[in-house]
Amino acid sequence: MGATSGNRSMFRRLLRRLLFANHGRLFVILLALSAGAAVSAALLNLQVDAKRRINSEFRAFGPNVLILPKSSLASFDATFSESTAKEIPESYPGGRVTVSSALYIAGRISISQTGKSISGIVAGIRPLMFLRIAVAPSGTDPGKPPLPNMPQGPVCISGQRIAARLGVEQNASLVITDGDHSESCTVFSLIHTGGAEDDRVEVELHQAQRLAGLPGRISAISLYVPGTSQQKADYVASLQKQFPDIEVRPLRQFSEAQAKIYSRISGLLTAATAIILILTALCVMAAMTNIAAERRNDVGMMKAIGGSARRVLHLFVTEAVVLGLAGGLIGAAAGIALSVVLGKAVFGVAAAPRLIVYPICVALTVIVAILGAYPLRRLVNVRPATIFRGEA
Amino acid sequence: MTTQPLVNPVASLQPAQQTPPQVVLENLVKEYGTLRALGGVSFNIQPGEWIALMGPSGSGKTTLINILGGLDTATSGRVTVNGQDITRLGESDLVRYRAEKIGFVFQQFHLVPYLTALENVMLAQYFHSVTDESQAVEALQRVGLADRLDHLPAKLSGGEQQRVAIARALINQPKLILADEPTGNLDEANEEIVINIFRELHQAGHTILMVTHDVDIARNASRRIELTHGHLTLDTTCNFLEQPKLCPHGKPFPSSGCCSTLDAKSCNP
Repeated sequence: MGATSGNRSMFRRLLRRLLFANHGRLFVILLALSAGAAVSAALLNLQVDAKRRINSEFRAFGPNVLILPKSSLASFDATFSESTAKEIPESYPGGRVTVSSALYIAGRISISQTGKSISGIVAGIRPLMFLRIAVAPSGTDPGKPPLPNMPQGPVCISGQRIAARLGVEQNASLVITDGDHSESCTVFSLIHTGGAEDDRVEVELHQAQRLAGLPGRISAISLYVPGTSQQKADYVASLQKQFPDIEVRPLRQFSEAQAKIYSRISGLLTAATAIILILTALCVMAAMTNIAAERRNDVGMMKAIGGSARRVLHLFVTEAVVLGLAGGLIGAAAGIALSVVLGKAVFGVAAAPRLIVYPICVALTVIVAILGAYPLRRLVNVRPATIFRGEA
Repeated sequence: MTTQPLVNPVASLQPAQQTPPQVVLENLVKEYGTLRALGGVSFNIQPGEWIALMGPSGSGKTTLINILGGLDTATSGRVTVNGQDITRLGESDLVRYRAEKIGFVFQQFHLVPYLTALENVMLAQYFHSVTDESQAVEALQRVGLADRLDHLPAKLSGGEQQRVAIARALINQPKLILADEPTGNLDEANEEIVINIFRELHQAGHTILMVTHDVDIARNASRRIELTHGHLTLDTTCNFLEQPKLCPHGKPFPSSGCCSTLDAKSCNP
């Protein structure tokens, strides 16, 4: 016990001496490892964050699965039961599915203050803030709209194009009529998606149902389904099986484009990380070659006085591991901070620090440090006499 | 001085001694490619002997000491140390052999520059078995370095560094001390200090094989072996002051011409 602890203490003593034998060299190696770890951590963090970020960016353009009544192609007025939306599984292996029900009607939209009115499409949406919720960071409670300063009473969202036609602005009061029914709402925001949303006014689903006289009926369900293409395809197939009387229509082109972009960005970041790590290993190896030259006689002497290659190597590899750990811990922390800045530059939003990146990056840096110590590993396998003759 | 190898030196050099030899070298050959560094060297070393291994540069002295110390391997021949044929040992056994049976003292000291004097000595303990700081301190006290324990080699004089190296060589109580020109880098004063330590070790019964070019150093040895071009050309227990003697065949003995153990019987007056 005492002998073991004595040798452990000697091992730690030797290690400390090895590490601090040359402060300048220690600084250079730590700098190389930290810089490599920092860039690797930044890229890896961006890579992990990219999937979420891309999902988020793509969600802004709308759902990727539509559920429609089978007769929808024949008739604009075709509807199905609102209860269908409640039966849709919101959780699956690919993530959380965001569900929105809609009823589309043609109505007359007028501004209370000016009396100006035009005909247009009115969409009753539940939840009304579907688009906003869909682009919100994961973890946001869909039951609570993430928008502050909600006005009292019913609110609606106007597409920018219809708003321009009508001359409506934010906080204007609208009256929507369909036949004998009418509903009023305050324009909470104007949206611009470049799609159909720009030409319609969105109100609460129950308002649209009252206007149309179709309580409990909807025209479509929009889903945002995260996950891989395969996961999405499986999910759509299971939905179709679950609801044979309605049509589940994936927006395939959009999903595949999404997967392709993620795959490209991911591949690019992985390649860049690998190159950075290889360059770091080469830098460390260059420094270690210098150390190996310096320690040539020390290694020869250690072996001459009875040090086995394994024990001498243990010392040097532990030294590399300690350097790798220190460089990795410092560099990865700096790199994750760097990724926040890079994320902001690339996506316009700061990348969220991903904790999983930290241990991965530290482990990679330790591996790089061990690989970089190759010149020392080579040296310890040479016969002492060969080293003393200067042939190693 | 002749450079011809002496005929059958092993057979002829055995004085009437009871104890079995500690070291037996039999027809030891070492070749580096086409270069033959040792061309069939044979001799024995008795326990407690101090042998000065002499010869010109390139004669194979360091090669011989390296093979004997397990730092290098022989091309052919046998080296038996305490009954163990070290030419047949695998790498791990050679490591144990070096740690347990051999104490090395080098001309260049070979101290680890970033370890203190004490840690350099403890390093040998660490590789041997377990470290014992008090023993290491004692070893340094014996070589007169009690006040230099925490000094790095760079802060020590050449003589002090060599004394640390000697303390390191002795810390594991080796059976054989191999010293390769231990005073080669020392001034006269430090040389004297180091040689005194070797004298004490010899008196204490240690077996020493010391490579040296210095005749004055060699005089301290109990026996002198000379190599020339990888061959044993002299093996004598006589000192350097003896008058040249002639063998019965009338030719002078090699080197200084003192009587040689190889022909001791015929040369004794």
